[in-house]
Amino acid sequence: MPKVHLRSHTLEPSYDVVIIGGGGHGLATAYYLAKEFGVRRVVVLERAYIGSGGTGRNTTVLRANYKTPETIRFYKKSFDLYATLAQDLDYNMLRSERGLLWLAHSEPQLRNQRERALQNQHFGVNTVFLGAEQVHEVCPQLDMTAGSKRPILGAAYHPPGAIIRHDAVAWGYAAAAERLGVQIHQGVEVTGLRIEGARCLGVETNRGFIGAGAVLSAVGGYVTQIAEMARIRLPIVTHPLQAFVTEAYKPVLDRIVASADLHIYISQSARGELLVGAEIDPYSSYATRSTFPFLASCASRAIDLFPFMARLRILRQWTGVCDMTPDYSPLMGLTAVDRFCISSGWGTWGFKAIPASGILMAELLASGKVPPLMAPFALDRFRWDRAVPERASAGTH
Amino acid sequence: MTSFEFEGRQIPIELGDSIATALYRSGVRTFSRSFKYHRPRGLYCGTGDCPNCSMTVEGEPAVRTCVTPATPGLEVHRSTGWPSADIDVFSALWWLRPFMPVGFYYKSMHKPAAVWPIAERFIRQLAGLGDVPLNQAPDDRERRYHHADVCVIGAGIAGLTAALVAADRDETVVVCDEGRVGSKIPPGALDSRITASLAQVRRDRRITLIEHGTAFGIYEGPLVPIVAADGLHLVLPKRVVVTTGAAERHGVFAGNDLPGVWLARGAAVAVGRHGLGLGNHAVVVMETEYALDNLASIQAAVRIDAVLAPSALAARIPTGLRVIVDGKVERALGRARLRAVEIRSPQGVERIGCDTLILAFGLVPRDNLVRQATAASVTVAVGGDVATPGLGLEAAIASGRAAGRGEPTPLEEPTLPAAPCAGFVCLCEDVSAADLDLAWAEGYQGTELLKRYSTATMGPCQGAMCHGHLRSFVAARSPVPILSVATTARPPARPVRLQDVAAGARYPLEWHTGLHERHLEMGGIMEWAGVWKRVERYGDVMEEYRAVRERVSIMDVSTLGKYHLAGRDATAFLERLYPCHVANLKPGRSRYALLLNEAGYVFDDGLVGRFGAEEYYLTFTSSGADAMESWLRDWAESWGHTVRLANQTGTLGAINVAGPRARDLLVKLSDDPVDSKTIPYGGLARITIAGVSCLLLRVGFVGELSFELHHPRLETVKLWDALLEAGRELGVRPHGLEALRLLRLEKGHLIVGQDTDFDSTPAKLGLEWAVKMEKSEFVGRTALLRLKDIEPNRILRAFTFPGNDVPLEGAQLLEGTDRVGYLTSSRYSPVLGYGVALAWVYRHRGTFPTTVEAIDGSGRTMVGTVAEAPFYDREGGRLRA
Repeated sequence: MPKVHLRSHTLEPSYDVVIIGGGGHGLATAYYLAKEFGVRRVVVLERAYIGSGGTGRNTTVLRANYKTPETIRFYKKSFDLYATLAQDLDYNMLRSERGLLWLAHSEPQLRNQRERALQNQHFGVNTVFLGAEQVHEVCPQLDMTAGSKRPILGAAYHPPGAIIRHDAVAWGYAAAAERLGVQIHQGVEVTGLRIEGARCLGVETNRGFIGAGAVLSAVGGYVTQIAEMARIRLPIVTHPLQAFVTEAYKPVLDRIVASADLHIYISQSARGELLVGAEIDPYSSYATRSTFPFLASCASRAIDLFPFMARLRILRQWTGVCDMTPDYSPLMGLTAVDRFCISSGWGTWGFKAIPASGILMAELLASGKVPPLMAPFALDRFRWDRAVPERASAGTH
Repeated sequence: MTSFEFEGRQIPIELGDSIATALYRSGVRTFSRSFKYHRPRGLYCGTGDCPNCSMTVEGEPAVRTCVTPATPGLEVHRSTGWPSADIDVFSALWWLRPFMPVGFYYKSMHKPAAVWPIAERFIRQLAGLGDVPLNQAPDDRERRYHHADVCVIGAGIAGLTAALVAADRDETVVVCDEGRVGSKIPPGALDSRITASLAQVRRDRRITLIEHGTAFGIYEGPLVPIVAADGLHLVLPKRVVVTTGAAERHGVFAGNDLPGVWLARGAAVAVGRHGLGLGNHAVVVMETEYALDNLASIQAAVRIDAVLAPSALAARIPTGLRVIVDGKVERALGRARLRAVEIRSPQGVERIGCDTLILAFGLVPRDNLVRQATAASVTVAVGGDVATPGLGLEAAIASGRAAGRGEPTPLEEPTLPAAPCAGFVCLCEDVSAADLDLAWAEGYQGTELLKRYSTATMGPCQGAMCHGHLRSFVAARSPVPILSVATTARPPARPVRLQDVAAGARYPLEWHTGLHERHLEMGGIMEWAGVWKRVERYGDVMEEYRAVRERVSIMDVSTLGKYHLAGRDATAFLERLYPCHVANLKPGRSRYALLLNEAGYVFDDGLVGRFGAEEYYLTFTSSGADAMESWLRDWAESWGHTVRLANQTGTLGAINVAGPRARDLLVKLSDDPVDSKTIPYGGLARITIAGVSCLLLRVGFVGELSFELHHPRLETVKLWDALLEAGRELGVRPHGLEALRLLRLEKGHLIVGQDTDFDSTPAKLGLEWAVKMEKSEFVGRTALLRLKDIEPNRILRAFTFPGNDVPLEGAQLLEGTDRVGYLTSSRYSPVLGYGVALAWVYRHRGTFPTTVEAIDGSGRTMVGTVAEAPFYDREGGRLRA
């Protein structure tokens, strides 16, 4: 008999915790609620199928080399949880440490990358600053002139930087959560929140009302619409983010290579596909339509860094949506509505945050208290001038 | 006779050969090894739809040889299998399959944790379609645009008819086909009609025909990119007609992937067009009417021992052939090649020895592009087999006509095959029906989860072979229709090379000032500054620095944002935009101005200069220059202000003349007065220098007497040369960015972007003096009012470091073991004899640190002390001279 990973259940009229959104964040929160905090009457409601949003659309890079203390600490926790996740969940997610090169092609980026490396080291994250020659040693396949356009001057190198199979993260959490009694319902869409006297009592769905001791929105892309149901306005604008993947080839690239100046990152999966991602599209949209201008310009930049990619074949391009906050850091925690919490604003880094976000959110839901690592990301931080500026800036006079 | 090279031997080419047909004629039967189990794979579809014939051609892996013309001199080899594709030791994996079922890698090799990194290395080596050539330079490819009325994708009979009909309506047409027109069609009535229509198309000047042109996407717009031999064609038509035809349906039964198993159309083309012999004994599955036409030609090439047909078709099988009515292939037998088939019929199970099995199960529409179009909200007309698979010649022509007229054809939901029970569902990824069964039982239910878990439909064919089978598998097990929906069709419809997609997009975006050539002549070392190239230094930075501090120097500052703003509401507009006063600025004067966003954060700075009552000159930083245009226009629009804005960043050059002898230099070249009384610090004037009419701004960024000369770009070289020539006896020399960075830092001037962060309010930067809160309104004022009672948790401060040991920019500042800040700018100041720096410091134990230890990765620890900026010439006497 095969071991069943995902079961089907009958929807119950109420749960201790209702989690909206069956992506990595929602599933991880459910798992940690059951595992670490003994809350087992938990349901995850997913409109489509689990992992169908950002979890199944990102470019699978794991790293902890951020640029503010708050974020470095948070992502370090996430990174460390990821390191043993396969064993914890008994699900091999094909995590592979490759080393992440963050290239600088300009004087401002050199300065930024040196600062990033030094600060990372201070907080116990392994990032070192490399000059051009060392970059070449770490990744000899790189065209150090970047197609004779933007010579590579140096890089911040993050040796533990890793890739992982994204879908497996969702499935691994889902299967482990199910074993602990969590219910996962796919095809259930939340259409409203039932709020009485500033307190959330449950959710309205296409399958009827479901009562809840507490409700968490772990929705990506459409969180502003869920928040609106609670009359909460979030400082979030949703942008598309595109990526493409080539056919599978023999191993040719071990490192994960990112370039802030060229707005691109490239890695090769265990199966051999080269995965290429970029910056968010400059316009806001919920649409997951792919565009040709993205493909053309991203392919061009990929060839600039790795000329051998010119004759490789693109297999598939796709698009996800990202919830961008003003400072590019997430929004997590309590809201003005009692028993309604939000985990959102993950921008382009939500996937890397899944374990930390899951365990901290579970702690919040179980205890009602905001864990210290989560506190800097409070929804009202802009009111108090406590932004967490992950948004990079580079200027010239 | 011509030939190409295949694994060390010469393969003769006959007219019309693809690489695959030439190889087959020369006896090659194993064309590739499969992805997971390294099973031998032979020619199967013959139409470019399946992955079986993929080889490395001219160093390029994964080329589908059945649709690649054989040309003399090519180098071709099979890149899967070791030591060769014929004898592959990894084919033993097939016998290990009980240990590696679907998703086995999710369920194993992770305990203990040390196993996986080793296993991964092995798996990586085993996976992949071929080695990547590391030493081939990219080809530069062209891009061209077609603004045609109609784009017809697929030049079969329906597509050609549609193109001709559209042209008759006097529409311009681009029609493309991924191969040579007709090459996938066996000889016969259809072939003749295509030849006739093709001749007509070639004669019609309103029609552009692109053969060997792969349309790989239909994007919003509509936009249809076509990759062809001569580059990338981007078609922006008014409407799109899709006539991509249909592929022969993949047959799923045990042993279905053995070499010797053919899809009927591929087999018919192989014998009919290329005269290939298929083998000695064949069994034919004939479940569809349309393929009856091919029987005769196949019969000429191979002895047909049996035809399996449903009773409805049995009567139409030519006499003399043995027909097994309602017979089904139970399984195909053989190891490296097909040896026999087992057939189940109402008469029982029968084994027939054969080396060829030809499958005609019906047709599957090649509808990837149609489904892409739906996702991109593009309405397309469809015609021919893609609309109604197997509709027959006359009906195809009729539907091509309708599509050519733009009549909407309802796209039929494709009929799904019988749910697969055994055999390979997905050839690209080696996913069997048993794999799907197991995945389903494990809980991966629904097309999307099943697809992602099993990877069926995710290989190079992108589901062309297996998508229908996947759906029918789900539909047979799930009562919930939503679970069996089609998966999303994503571009590209066929795999395309990066360099083909990037055609025409590989230009460098590099802007030059009018002095770029001069800088190079003078030995300038250039660096990137946004999209600009600017001089970092000409030689000795210290010499350049001393020229500014002691004599006179010039710098190309043409990259600064430069705007001319005038109009009825110019003053009101700027007063409301800037946090400084504008209305009280006298004509002929300028002042420093911050740019705040609505959150009260500084995002740019520059000067605002006044010419007259409602006429201004604005400058911004180089990096902000272009973004500023939409910022200004946006606010003018939302406030309803009447202003005229001219972005002169590119049209004006600018040269900064700085140093104690700067005025002496100008006097030599100008008859206009430049004395301190006529043009005081902050002054703005129009003067003529060296015959060039200039707008002069007396500024102070470097901390010496300095004049920015803004002038027409075309005269910039003339002005530059004149300044150097006249300044020779004053000791003039030009300086670059590196000297500038030191000069401005000595004055404590920040650079927005380098020294500011995303949330830097004027208060955090110590620039409150540049904000006039008493003004009733300006952008950011509301936010600053709200923030005024909130203590910031970090601020920008000036620090000095004794001696000439100065920490690098980016250095971390510590107090004990706590991080209390980081350096954004730092340099050793020769004129002061110690290091000067700007740094962000955090509130630490209730206060901002005043003494810090800096570490910069060099191993040194340097102690810095908070200081007051400017470091140099605090009273500003020099720049006011």
